[in-house]
Amino acid sequence: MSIRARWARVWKASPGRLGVAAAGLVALALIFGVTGVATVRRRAAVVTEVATVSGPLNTRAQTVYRALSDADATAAIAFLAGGTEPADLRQRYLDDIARASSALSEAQRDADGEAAPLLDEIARELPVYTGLVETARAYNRQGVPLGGAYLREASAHLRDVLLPAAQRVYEVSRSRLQDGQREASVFPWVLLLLGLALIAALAGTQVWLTRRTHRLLSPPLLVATAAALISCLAVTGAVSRSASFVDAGRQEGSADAQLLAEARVTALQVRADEALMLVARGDGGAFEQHLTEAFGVSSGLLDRAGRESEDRQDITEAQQAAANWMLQHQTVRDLDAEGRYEDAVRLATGPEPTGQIAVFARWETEIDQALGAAQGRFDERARAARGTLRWADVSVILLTVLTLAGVGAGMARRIGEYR
Amino acid sequence: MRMRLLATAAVMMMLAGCGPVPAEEPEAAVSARVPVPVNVKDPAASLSPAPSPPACVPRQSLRPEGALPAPGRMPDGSTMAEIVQRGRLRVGIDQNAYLFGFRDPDTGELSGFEIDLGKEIARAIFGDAEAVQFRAITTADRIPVLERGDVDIVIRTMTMTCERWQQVNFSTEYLTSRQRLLVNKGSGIGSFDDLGGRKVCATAGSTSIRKIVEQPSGPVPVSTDSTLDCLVLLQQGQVDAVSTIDVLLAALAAQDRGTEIVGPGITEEPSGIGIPLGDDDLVRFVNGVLERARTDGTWKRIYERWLLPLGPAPAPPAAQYRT
Repeated sequence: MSIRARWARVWKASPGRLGVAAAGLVALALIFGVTGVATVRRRAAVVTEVATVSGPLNTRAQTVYRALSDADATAAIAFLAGGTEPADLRQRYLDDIARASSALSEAQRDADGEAAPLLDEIARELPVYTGLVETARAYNRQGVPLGGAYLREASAHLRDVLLPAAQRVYEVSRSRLQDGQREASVFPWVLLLLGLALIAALAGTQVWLTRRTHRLLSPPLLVATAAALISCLAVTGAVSRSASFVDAGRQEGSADAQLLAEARVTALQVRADEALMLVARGDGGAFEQHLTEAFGVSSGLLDRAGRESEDRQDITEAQQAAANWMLQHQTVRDLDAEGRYEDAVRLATGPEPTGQIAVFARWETEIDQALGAAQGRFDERARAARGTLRWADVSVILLTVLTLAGVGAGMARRIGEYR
Repeated sequence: MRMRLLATAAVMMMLAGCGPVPAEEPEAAVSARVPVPVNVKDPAASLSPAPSPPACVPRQSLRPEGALPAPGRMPDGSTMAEIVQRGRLRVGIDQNAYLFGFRDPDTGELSGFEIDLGKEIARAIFGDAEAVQFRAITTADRIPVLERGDVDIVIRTMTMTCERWQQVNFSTEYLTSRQRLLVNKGSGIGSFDDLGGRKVCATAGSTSIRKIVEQPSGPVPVSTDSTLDCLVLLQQGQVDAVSTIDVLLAALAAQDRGTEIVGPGITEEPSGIGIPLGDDDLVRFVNGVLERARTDGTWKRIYERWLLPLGPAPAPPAAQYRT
């Protein structure tokens, strides 16, 4: 007997049709359940990755980048103080190196792909940099100009090798974070459609059965329908809420944080340029040019952050401090050009509350505050996104089992009635 | 279909909670990257051959006219009167040349032989050695700042050459030097003959870098912004020798006892004070001041104050004037 003929016979007899319907419902329920569990697990994995790996990795890359830039500026300012540098500047430099090394080794643990070899390079070259800085210091203490040459070489090594690698690591980790965020903020359309299909199939089967057998609705099938409905609502709801938290975390948190972190790191470079221009003693034209460009970049980033961020107050104050700093930098330059080098150095590195150090501290602190707030928003949304997914997979499993049981019981009874 | 299989496999792997185990990698050969100072050119940019300037006697400058005017009373309409009007003499100097022009890290003050020379000229104009504004410039900037009028004079071990006489004026010679070599002690290098195919450093825009290129043994020139950067490169083993005038080499050697000056002088280099073309009155005036310094012992006093590490003070270079 041909397969088609056998199917025709099964289909002709009511128990056969019921059996096919039951198998279809079971298959649909299983597909929905498996897809639901897989989606929830996948989302949970991505959201956890965003919250606990790529988010922190991005922050660590930021820390490396920032600490190295700060070391550059601090070493130059300490150098300008002459043979015996102020203890607090020395400490700040040492802290920068410690922070960079420590964030570096933490980042190496989580990094992969393009970032890993870059982090290796930073790990290899950082001791070369610190060695040059110490050589500069030793010569500076002996009172010979050779120290300045070593400091410039150190800074060049930092800027040509270490900072570009740190910047690249930061960019790579940022796009990894963004990819995760993008993946975790998609609405679960497939899941919703599967759920709706299952519900429709259940409803259709019951309508068909009721018409055919002129009997009342079957309670087990009603339970199955209810379970499918709840399951569909719960799981798509949880996934889509988590998606919107992730999206909010990006828009209100990490996007601002990235702009602000970049603004701060360029600000640190601007500050290093001023000090290095003074260290170069007349050969500093290149630093001045870099300073002007970096200041433009930093201001641009702050402006963008100011338009997009919630922390307008802090950012406005950071912008004001930046403008003051630049104004005063003109004075530093003019003093240096007039040959009043000592006065220029004092204005750039002195402890006076109106000096460049204090103005810069204000600039940096305001950015830091806005950055901290943005970072906090990111962390909070990421936590919420993880929270909504908790138990979602378990409830999908339970409700799917319930749906299957209902379908099984309901259909078995109808099929039994033909025996 | 294959896509679906892949996707299924990926989902299963995710559900299993593990990725592929990374293969053990053989340890790669790791080597340090050598740091370089800013703006090092290795090898140096090829230099256009020096245009042959009209023949001249580079040491000959303009003769002073009569006695020096009293400080603060410069002849009307003269360049010096303009400087008095301004209140300060602007001098282009080096801030990184140990013993010549450098910042004493203890006091933060500019010090050195050339700084004192600048102050001596300010004293002759104003009666006040401090009425001077020093401006640090690079080797390559010496002529441009004079041409732009950014400074009144340049005192920065500037070699008097016929080529440069086309662009600027020079005073009479205030220091004689010869181009030699600075090498690491025990390197076995005794002269340029030992440097064929090896790296020799000098500053960009200097006469020294040209001379390195011209050596028959064929050394490879490496240029930097400052002679100090050359010493850094020498200490780090990135060049085999530094070659510039012996007085600057001595200033480098004074900062590192591991180096020594070797080889015969390959040039005679008179250093003169650079003055813009056209400011002939200032040239004559500065030559008057130098003349006085030579005869009244000021030159010797300044030399001994700074340059004793180079050896005992020689007689000041004799002034030569155009007839």
